[in-house]
Amino acid sequence: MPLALWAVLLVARGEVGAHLLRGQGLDPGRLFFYWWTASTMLLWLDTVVCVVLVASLVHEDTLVGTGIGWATRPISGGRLLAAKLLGAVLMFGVLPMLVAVRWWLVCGYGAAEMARAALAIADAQFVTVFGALLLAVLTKNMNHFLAWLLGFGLASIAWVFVLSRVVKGLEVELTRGANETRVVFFLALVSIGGALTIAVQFLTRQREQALRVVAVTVGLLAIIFISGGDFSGRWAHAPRSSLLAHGITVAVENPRIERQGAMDFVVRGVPENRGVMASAEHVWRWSDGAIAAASSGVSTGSWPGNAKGRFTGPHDGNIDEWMMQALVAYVPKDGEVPDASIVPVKFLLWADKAARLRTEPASYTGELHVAFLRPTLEFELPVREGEQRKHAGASVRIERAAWSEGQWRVTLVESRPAGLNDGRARLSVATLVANETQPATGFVLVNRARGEAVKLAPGGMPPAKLVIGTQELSWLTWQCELPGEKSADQPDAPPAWLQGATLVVVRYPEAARFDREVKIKNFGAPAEGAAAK
Amino acid sequence: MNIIETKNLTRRFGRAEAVCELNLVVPTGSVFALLGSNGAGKTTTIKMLVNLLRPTSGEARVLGVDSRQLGERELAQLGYVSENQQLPLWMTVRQFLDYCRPFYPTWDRDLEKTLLTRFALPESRKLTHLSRGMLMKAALLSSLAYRPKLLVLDEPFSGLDPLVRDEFIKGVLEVSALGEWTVLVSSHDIDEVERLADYVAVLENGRLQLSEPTETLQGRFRRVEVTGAPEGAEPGRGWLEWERAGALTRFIETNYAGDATEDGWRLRFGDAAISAQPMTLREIFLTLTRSSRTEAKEASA
Repeated sequence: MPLALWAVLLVARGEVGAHLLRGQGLDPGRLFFYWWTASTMLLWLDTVVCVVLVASLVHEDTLVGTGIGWATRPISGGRLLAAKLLGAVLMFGVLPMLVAVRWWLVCGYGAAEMARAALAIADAQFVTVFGALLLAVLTKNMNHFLAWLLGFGLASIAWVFVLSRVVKGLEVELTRGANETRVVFFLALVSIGGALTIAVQFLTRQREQALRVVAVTVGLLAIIFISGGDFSGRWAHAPRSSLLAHGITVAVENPRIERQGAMDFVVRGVPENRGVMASAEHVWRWSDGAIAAASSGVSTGSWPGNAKGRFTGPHDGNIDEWMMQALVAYVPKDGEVPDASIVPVKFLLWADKAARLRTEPASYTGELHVAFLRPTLEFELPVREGEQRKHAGASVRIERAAWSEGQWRVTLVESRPAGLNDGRARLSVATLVANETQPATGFVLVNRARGEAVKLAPGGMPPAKLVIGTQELSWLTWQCELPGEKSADQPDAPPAWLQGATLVVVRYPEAARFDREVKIKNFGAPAEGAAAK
Repeated sequence: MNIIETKNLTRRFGRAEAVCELNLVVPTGSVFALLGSNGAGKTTTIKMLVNLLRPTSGEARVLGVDSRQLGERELAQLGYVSENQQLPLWMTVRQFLDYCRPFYPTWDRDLEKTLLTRFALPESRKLTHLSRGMLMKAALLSSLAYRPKLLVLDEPFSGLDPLVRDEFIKGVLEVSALGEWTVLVSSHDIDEVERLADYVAVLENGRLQLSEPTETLQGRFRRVEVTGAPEGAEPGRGWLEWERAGALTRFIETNYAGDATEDGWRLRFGDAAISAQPMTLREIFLTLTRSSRTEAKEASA
């Protein structure tokens, strides 16, 4: 019965998504909030019910206490463990996948998208089930389990708080490598310690021994976190390079210590027909080697575009020569064109460190990871309300298109597979280890008869996003000014330019990557030779 | 050949000693009753025997192996029924039996049917909807149908009404008569055990007071009444609950051996009238328990 209820919850999430994809309740304002609330509540309810079901599965043949029924039957602990794992796979892995198939079909998934979505479900379910299983094997019944869950939650918060105080007190250097080391060791220790605890409980039913394993695991984690050790060299790759990087310079300009630290990253030389996206790790060190400040991934995914903010490219067969020329031809009409892409970067500083940095400038090292983006034409659809195109699990539908006050504005419903980390809606291993970013999407209005194209910009309502299962739904409003003459006698009528125009959806997947290191000897003083080619 | 042997078996919970250096021998083929008042250590002992609890020290050998090493092979020959046993209550009686059957190569379908009829168990009813007596009978059935070599019953009668209790005992007696089965039953319900047991052990405060065949035990205990015993007569060795009220002297002889013992009494009491009555297991148990508690009080004082 609880399992059926859980399946109904999973189906309900899919139905919410199907309802929205059909175009009902699509007002990205107030109504969207209700849908978002409903979807989020279903997600939480689904997680809670899953945790309770895992505990029920284990407690059906409890491992704690002296009234254990199965222990006096010819059932070995190993056999019971195998049976429970099989049950968990069927109940919490296969069942949600089967239930999701209808939703996947609604989204237009093919075999590849289904496989990827199944992997995402398995990943997210694994984290939930593993955590619940770990607590369930140490508890006798549901009341006991819920009490331990509460205690475990509070203990974790206390542990993190105490640990962070200790780490801060010891002034542990938290570089990118140290953070990576923490994540890797955390995953490894929790996996090994957790699996060992579960195995010990099933095979021996000696809870004291199982709790000893937990204690050792927690102790080792504390040591790793306090020591701030950096073993990332064992798995780090060599700096990447790409022929496409030739001629691109990255420099740090205007470094300054104000209420917080600040500087500008300046990228020059990105060709007009390329796009780049970068993330960076920053470390400031004093002359004694101590770290003044460190941060990683400050600008992940927030650094798009070449100097002109355009994405075109000759390498994609879908973007034909005509399209490229149309886009390039349009750009000069854009007006001012900066000669560089400038990204302001700010970092927080403790008051004492900021004071010291003002009097004693630190050296700065920035490691940049730059990705080239290659534009891909994904859909082309007539500019009419209700028009929709689907491909490989993604779809775009024109919800509204209107001309007013000199702007053409379109409201779109975009639906895409959320990626391996389930859109980060739930904790999963992929969320921790894979810094996966979805390719950006752009929209271009094209009039082939006139040989002109216009790039749309976000406008109107801010985008509204909603993750349902493994699919992300977005409500987007984009707008542009249209080229061509306005009708003199009917100034408010849509320009004739729109006749026969199509909306082109362009995606920007990664084409290549390169890494750069930028250094400044004395941060706070004017940069000397900061550019790196 | 003994099916159970314990050697200095001890279990402590913190500082409290639930079972202390227990040396117990259960012969194969016997119906062995483990008696004791509440908290005497019966359940703890049984849980150690079936590996639901680990001994603090000492060891127990059950079906020829260390109780801590009881594996699938041994457990397929062992039946265990307890009042606190966890059962899959969401199953029907039929589902429960269908679930248990594949674990036991020796499961006897005919015996299962016979017991189902005898215990009048409703096959389609869920275990959770069964009365306590019915539930115990379902548990017993699931532990008898594969003809275990050793059947362990931990307080099986508590809370059962007389009718169910009677059916339960008859069921156990019937199947134990079918072959070389050993039954170990713990209880403080001595009247019922008396009908079952051919061996008795008494535990008190975690310590073994006695362990011997029921017949021998009942044979060596006599309630003795002496009318007109001489003044100044003192109790002999092995006499318990000695008391005098006027001309009447009462005591319990714990080493009665027929004429030889009676000759001894006559030497001590002369021409006094002596009557000796056999005792029930309940009377023997109560005598031993009172005696043990008196000794404990005296020792602590």
